[in-house]
Amino acid sequence: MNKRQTTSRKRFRWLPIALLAVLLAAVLAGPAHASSPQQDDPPTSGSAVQPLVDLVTNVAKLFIQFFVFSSVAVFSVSVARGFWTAQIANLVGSPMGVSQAWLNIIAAVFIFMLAVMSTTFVGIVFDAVKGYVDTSIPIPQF
Amino acid sequence: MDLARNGALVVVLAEVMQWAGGLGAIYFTGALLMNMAQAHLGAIAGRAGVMVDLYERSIPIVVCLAVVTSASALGQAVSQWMTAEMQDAAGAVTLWRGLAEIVVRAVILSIGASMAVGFATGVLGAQFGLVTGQPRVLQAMTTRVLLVLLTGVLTLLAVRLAGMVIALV
Repeated sequence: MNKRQTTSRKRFRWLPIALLAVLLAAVLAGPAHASSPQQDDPPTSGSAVQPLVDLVTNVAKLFIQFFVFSSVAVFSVSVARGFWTAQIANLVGSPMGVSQAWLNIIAAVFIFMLAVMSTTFVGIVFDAVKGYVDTSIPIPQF
Repeated sequence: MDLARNGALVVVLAEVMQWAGGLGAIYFTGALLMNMAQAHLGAIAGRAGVMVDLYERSIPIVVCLAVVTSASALGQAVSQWMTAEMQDAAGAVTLWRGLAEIVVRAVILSIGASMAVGFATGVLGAQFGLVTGQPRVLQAMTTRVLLVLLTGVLTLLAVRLAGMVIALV
């Protein structure tokens, strides 16, 4: 790790402190935004984090859209490059050229399909694990 | 907590909230911009691992931005928890549990999105590697994607694993 990276990391070390300060301000000012605080009926943790989760989901959707659209462009470049490589290899008489080009194209198609189906794959994994997910923290009884 | 109901204090706190939220949003936006500009300059200078650095630094900033923009709702919920639960020792435990569950839910409900982004990023990186003729692209992609899924699944199961450890005591 060079000196520049170390300096940069040190600079970002106080990010959590800034975040904690903002959160503290939010916690302190919470009652100011509560229209009618109901003392006997605290909100559920699910409703409290829903805006944050919605925001993270929207940001993730934006990123995934960008990645998938980029992936289409890169896929077309990969396929064109594969065929072009095959042409050059054929021209110069390379014995392995065409098979290498085919491998490149097949890999490009495979990776493109993975990119397009990334949300589907993650959904499959998430659905498989969903039954085992627990959000209530156990308290030990001594 | 009685003080919090005081009108003047509430007004001051509302202003503090507004200032803190605004300053936080400005700071993190600036940090994100500077981060990307720094990565761009690094790429121009030919530094290696520019994208890795950019990713490592940008993810916490984006998360912080999301927290800042949702701070009002989170703060409201936390303050209501505090006013409702902080009566005795058992109430303190319940309060801590509630606060921890807020964090747990925020992380677990967001993990699907982060897994999808990690998966898509890994695959896109492999596509770029294929175009540039990098060796061992498929191996690197498989390792990366599997690690994304594995760490995501472990995060999802973290509370269950902690519960299993507690049950063993």
